Amino acid sequence: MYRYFSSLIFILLVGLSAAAQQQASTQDTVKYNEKYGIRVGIDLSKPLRTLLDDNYSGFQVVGDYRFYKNFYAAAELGVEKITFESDNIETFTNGSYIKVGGDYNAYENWLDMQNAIFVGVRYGFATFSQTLDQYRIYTSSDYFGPDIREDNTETTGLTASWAEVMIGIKVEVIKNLFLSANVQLKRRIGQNSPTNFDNLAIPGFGRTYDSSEFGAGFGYSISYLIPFYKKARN
Amino acid sequence: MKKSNYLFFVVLTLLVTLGCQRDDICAESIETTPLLIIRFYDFEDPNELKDPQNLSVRTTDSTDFVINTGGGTPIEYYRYSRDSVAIPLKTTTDLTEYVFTLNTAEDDSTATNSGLRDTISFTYGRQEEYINRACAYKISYVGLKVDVDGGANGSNWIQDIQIEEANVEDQNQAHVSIFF
Repeated sequence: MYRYFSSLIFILLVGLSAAAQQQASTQDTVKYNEKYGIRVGIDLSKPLRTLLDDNYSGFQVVGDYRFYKNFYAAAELGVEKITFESDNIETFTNGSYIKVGGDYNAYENWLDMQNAIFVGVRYGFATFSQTLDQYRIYTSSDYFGPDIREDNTETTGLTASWAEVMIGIKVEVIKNLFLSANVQLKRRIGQNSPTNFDNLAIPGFGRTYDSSEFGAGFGYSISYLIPFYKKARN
Repeated sequence: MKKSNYLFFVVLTLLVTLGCQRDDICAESIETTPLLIIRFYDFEDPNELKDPQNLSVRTTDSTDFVINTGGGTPIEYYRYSRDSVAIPLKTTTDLTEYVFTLNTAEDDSTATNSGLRDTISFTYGRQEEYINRACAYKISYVGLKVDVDGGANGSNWIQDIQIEEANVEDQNQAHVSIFF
């Protein structure tokens, strides 16, 4: 996980030094118009992972709205099915989630470009069910052989909420069409888990860890900007 | 500028997809399904531990002896002469029957035709408890009861058996004492 962040810091530094150079070379009086509007799209990594990973299927729509200068209101809405498999347990999680929050674009654009290096915060909420497919009664002695049980009890009506910070970039590849990548660090705020069990994965949050409330994720999305109006950059 | 932007994406995507996942391995320090700990005492002097000589422990439905893998080198309970044993209880049924053979002869590799044999029946209730994702579940045994049967004339070598801890939840103390 830390690898992602160190690489992002590197990316940020490169981006910022590039920005500084551009600033110095554009000391003129021309005003550039910036577009304000709503940007909608889908996450590309989730359908891709659905194809490649037998234990996963998911879909997510993303959207943001620029309401003031470098500030955007942002939200993600998605569904995920996650199978968690380890040596001794297998579970299946199925549910949907919403994440709402905002992004701040820290990147100063050159000319009329609309790229972004942004930081965002989100509040996430998921509602889901979890099925305990198979588990083992763990014993230190193998005298009686392994006791592996198939269960298939589904617990419905589970919920979880978390706070999330993300950092990422958005690049306008062709007019009004953006590619975006981000990494997320999440901290669980609350959850209700099945009796005598735990939530091993949460839609939108990803897999959980026994010893901590933290989780991590990433997104890679394509989105289209529907401009509402233009406003001069000052 | 554009070129470097694309490079960012490639690097980021690679890092994200190559990200390794931590293995979930059940650590030995975690308390899982407990073994039943039995200590042997001198019937004449009940406060004194006593080593049974050449004790062999197997279930009634098996000719394999119990192997304790708990402390470093595995110990097979065949012609074993120490004052305590730790044996598993079945997690699938409420009854486990063990044959405790004292004075097992050297040439009796199944402990079926030498020494003094007593059958001990352990009955109990079972409760499943979730541990964590690496170790999954454990069983705790509740309301342990024991019964000694040595055939026609009661018991062959066990004089008395006492339950010290009727709920077998951990391995911190002995659960059963055998006096002989």
